[in-house]
Amino acid sequence: MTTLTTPRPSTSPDLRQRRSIRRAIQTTWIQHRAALLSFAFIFAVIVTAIVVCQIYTHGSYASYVNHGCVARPINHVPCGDLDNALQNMNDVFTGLLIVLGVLPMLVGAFVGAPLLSNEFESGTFRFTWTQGTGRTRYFLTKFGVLALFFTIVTFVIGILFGNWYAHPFEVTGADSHWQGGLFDTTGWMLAAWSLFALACGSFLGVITKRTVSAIATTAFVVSALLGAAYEVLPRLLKLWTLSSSKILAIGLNYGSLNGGQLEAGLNGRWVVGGYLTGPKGQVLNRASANNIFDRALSSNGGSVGAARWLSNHHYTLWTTYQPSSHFWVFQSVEVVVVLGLAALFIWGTVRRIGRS
Amino acid sequence: MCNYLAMKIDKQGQAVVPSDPSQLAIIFRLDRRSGVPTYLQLVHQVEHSVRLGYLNLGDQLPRVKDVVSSLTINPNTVLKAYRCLEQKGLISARPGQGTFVSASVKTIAAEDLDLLRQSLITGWLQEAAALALDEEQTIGIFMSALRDSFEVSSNSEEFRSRRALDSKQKEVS
Amino acid sequence: MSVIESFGLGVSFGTTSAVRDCTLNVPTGRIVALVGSNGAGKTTLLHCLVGLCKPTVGEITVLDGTVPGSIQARERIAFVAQDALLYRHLPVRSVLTVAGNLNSRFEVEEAKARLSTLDIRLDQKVGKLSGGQQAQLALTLALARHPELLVLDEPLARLDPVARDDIMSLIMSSVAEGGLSVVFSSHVVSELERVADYLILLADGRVQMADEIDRLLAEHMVITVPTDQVDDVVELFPVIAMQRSPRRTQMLVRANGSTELPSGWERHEASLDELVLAYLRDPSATALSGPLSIASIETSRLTR
Repeated sequence: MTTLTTPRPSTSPDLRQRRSIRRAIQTTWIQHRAALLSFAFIFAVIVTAIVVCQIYTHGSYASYVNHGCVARPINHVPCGDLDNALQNMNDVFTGLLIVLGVLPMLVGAFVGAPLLSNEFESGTFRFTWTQGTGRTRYFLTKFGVLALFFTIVTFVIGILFGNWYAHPFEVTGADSHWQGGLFDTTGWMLAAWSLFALACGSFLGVITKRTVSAIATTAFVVSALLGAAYEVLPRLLKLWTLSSSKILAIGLNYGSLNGGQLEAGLNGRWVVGGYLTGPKGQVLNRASANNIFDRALSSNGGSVGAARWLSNHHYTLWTTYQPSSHFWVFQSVEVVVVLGLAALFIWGTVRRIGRS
Repeated sequence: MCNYLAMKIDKQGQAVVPSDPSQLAIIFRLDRRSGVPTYLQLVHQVEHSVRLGYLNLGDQLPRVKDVVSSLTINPNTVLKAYRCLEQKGLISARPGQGTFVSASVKTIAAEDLDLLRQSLITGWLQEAAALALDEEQTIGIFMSALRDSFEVSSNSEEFRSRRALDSKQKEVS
Repeated sequence: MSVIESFGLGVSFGTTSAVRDCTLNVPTGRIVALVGSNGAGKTTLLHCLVGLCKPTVGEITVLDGTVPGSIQARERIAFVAQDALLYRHLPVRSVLTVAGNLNSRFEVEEAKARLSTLDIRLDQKVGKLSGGQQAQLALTLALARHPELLVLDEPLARLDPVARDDIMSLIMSSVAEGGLSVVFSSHVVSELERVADYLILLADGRVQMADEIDRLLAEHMVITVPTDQVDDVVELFPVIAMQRSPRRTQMLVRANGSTELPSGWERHEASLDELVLAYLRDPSATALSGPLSIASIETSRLTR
């Protein structure tokens, strides 16, 4: 318990600022202790799971690297076994991926939504808004403290998960940070989506003024937008692509990045599609391309033989892809859009509080 | 009648120690059904106490805050009563110290009172008896006359000033 | 020095208007009772004072021209909402901390001392306190801010007689300490006279009466006349309420200081209770000497 008395005029601006920050944190902590503790627990479980699983995966991955499997075809026996072992661990990874996928929604629904709707529903806003601190400042202060906490924690979790734990699975081709799920759970994206969910929840709270409706609408809106981002991303990735003939691949399952099955040097890239050109440089349509592939595969020697057959007959397989350098451009674009929406919601909330 | 003034209440001294009721020279009580205005009840009680010698010269009256919190009445009412008593010369306020009894009510000689009483019995009461008024009727008429008599004398001054104010307002509009 | 000044204030929610054409000029230092039946617009008017509600038309300022809801107003006005709504799940100590954090001035030790005299423990959950204790807590929080104006919405509703007396006593002694004006709403008419010295009567969103209680009482009287002379009275004075019997009729009239009545007319002072009840029963009656005279001064200025 702190003793708060009339501010002495002699206090320096620096001290006053520090005290107002402490007051903001204290007020937020008192009012949202339950939610903060619950999320701290959830975060602790997630971080523990990530660390434990990463250590567990690391052994298999190290021998995978030591066997030189990164640059070797999958049908090399020890590499195949190790790859299978890693694929099995991928189930836990996918589970965590889903948890992190709904994390922003949880933050929005259970921290953002009650932030103001609770005050309206219980009527305490008549107390809070008539204190010396204005309602706008009251909201922004609490929102700021919560936003800071959740942004930092989700950023750390995103880095741990998307940039550390995910690495072996990316190298072995089980997952890619270009894919919707992982794309939205890297450090920046997870933090941006959590901040967005918090802002969205506050806004819907001040609109609905009922906690339950605010939680429901926030869960719906955040999930819908995350789902939309998941759907839109593959379409966006088809824009602004590069093509290369140097990458030889088997089959026409373009778009799924099976790094391990492709030649070395593909890590970090995202194969969007491909096409086959004939001896005269003409682009083959899908039917004739399939026909040529069938003939190539029927020659002996597996994928290597097929590739040799194609080059002997002057067919070239072109692959369109996003180079790894584009990844951060796409990330930045989505971060800007998501944060922009968050800012819009914060602005809307402030306006609504001012009017009601 | 004491003039009602828009009073600013000043803090009664720095001592914030709550007064001990047993130390108080007078404890007020209110009769809510009497119909007598609250401030007048306070005035009467002080006058009564002074008259009977319960309050002596130099005794301190309770602070406004204490009266207010014990009776749950408007502080302005207490101030109005004290101001009224001050105008009557019964009490005086010493800034920063409190309010003190500054005079004793002039005592009326016992024979004077007896004379007054006798005149009532031999005069008015006999007339009433001649008209065959019963006890309650007699009391009713006496009380009504008494009220009118006091009201006219106490109100006339205030109403005169109010009428002047009203006519001024009419001129303006 | 005025604590409330409003001119033509109106508040509507959608198409329904809660407060209409409300013109007030309440001097500082008063204990103002805002009286009206349920739904008369008391809460809306109080919310306008503390900035929880914005006027649709007209103007309102508090504490000598301050805009309600502005920082200057918020720091000087404390509000206790109806049912004293506070964070029910928090212990009293935490509520004190939050209130301290939300105000530049908050005498926390003073508040603690008061709570301890009220037997409210700091570790008790607000929701577990009795209704009276919650009201006491809300009032303590408000007074710890040392406001210049204390606004209370139905502070006595749902309280037992002891709690009522305690609450009013606390308010009264705070006023006695000086520098505090109080505005409280109530639909309880009895005993208003004891605590309030200024009355605002609201009926259907309109101000029916707004004046010093002493003046209102002086301006009204109850007269009893033979029933066949009722018309004479009606000619002379505005009649607010009338009780007829075959022989004699009792009327509550507004008589601006005129005391000389024809013989046979009996005159009594009106009590505040009967005055308020009479006006509440007849929403079309108004007694707006204060504000009306201001309005007339302004119009006379304009016409000149």
